[in-house]
Amino acid sequence: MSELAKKIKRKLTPGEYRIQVRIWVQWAFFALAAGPLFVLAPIVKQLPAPWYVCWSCPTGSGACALGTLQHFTGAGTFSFFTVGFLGLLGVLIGRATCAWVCPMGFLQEMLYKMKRYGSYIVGIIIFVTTMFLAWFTPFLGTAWNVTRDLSGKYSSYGLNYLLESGQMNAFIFWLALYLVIAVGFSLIFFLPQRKFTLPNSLAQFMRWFFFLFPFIFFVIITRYNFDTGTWGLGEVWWCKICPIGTITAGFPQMYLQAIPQSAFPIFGLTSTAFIGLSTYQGIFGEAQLMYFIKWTMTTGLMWLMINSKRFFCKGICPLGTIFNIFNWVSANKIKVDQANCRGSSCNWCVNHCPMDIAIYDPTAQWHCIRCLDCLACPFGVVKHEVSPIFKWLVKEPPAKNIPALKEPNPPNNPTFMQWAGFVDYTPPQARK
Amino acid sequence: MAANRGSFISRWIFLPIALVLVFMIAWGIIGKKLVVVPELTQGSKNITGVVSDIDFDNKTLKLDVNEEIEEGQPTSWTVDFSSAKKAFAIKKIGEEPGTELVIRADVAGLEGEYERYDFDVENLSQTLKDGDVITFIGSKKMSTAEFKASIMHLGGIFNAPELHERQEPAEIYKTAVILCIACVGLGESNLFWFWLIMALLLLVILGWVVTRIVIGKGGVA
Repeated sequence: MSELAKKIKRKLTPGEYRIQVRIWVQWAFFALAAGPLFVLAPIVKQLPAPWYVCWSCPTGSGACALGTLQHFTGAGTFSFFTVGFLGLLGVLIGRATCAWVCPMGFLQEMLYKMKRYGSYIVGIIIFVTTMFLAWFTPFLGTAWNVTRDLSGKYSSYGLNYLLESGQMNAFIFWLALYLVIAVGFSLIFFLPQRKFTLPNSLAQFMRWFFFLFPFIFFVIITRYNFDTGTWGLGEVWWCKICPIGTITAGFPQMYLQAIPQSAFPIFGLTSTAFIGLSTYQGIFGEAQLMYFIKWTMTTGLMWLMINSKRFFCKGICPLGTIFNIFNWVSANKIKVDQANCRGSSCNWCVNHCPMDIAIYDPTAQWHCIRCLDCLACPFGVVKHEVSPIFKWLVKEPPAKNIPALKEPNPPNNPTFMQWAGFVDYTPPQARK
Repeated sequence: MAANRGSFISRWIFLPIALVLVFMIAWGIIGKKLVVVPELTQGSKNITGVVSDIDFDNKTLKLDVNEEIEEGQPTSWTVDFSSAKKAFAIKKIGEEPGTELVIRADVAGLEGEYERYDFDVENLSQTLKDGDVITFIGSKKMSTAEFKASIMHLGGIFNAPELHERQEPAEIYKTAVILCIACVGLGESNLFWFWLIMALLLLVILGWVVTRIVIGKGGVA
């Protein structure tokens, strides 16, 4: 019997089985949120999505919860439904949606698992996309005389315009410049991969930096209209820098622009109600220097996603930060038997964690996405703890024969969260 | 005791919070029958009419519209094109196809704020005369517009093409376009330099990550 046949025939352990199930669930939600199941958009878009896909994604079938919050804040109202919906998910299942549902989380897991040649493919895509944008859009267009007509629409001045208008010197100059930029962008994906761990402390800092500063602050100033200098509906600033918006909507919408309407009538329609696909017309001119900044940031982020597990989820995602807050009060928790855990001398959980966190560290609760992969701990010290109300949902695994530690040495002093009662803590006197 | 108390809180604290959140959801759905979204919806308005009684000293003119625009709206408009506070575009059509004349104007009878355009009003007296047919192409903010309440609008919102397809009662003009294609960055920005600094700051952070972690000193937690 071949090795493959042995692997197939071998019965999966509960932990391995759970990981397999999670991958299939991720595929299913990928199809729903940003894939072929976009036909369900008229139904699913009626709810704020617990995943992170731009609602301008041509195949997006959910309303971006963060966009909704901005939208309502800008309109001077509070979205009770969105906040309640996200909060309820958070208190019931913690951050589990990040692990089981979010297509961007799935994409990052796939990017991280990619081998060397997968990285090359990403580099080629980055190169082609950069040149595509340079050809059709102003991109670095503020260097040119980009004008607006009466309707406020930008004229499109790309490389194609320079070529068609016979400005050969300018064409060659800008072509060379764009080639240098495109090669520079794609080159980093051809370098040897250097996988690294984003430390919890830095991730924590980044998370709150990106959440408090750009998101909350700019959601607030969404109320300020810089055009008129008055308080009112301004612009959605988070969307302007959102890398997920760039990946799921910014690029696809631009590519769809290039498809001749006569060639594929579906894309020629402003909206196709019968399949739910949604595209915009004439937005090449909108992609200017701001878009170039977004593109640069997204390119860098793609490299980080390849080299660090779920970099965006761990250090940036505002939606994840909202769920993180509820992680502490969630009915769905991961509990570690600190007395028997080998901690940093083992790190099996760290190596298998899609978020690259040490679950035995109490501060890891901020980042834990409840994927449940760590429940496959060979020593059985990681337990799934749910509220007594939901006990019937979780099957208690059989106790494992845990070899005794020679020198179990849990910390004596409680952490702040232990002190506050959110994390179990046994005083040294009460320990055997 | 501390361990027991902590355990009890951590296991049950979700329940009162969940109840509050359920109430929020219910309030979001049931509590408001209509969600008033001021300044969110805008309607574009085109008014075509014949110019008469041009007074370049007082910078006023009279515009006789060809047909009744809306029920209750007058068919004759007094246009004051001296003010720069409220801008309203006027497009001249007729004699020279392809050329457009735009001026700033206050239009008596129309309330609300309009899109601001910057025009060159030079040589106006040479290009505009009685009998010209001109078109207002401004966009009027419909500050009293209301969305029909539904779960969709309480939770999220469809993007512009989809709203158009669904024939929602309010026409989404500027705001929805900004909302929905913000993914492309929307070209120029008032805070461009700020974002440039932010991007540089991000690069500094990433640089720190690379140097600190990738090159040797990385670790768990």
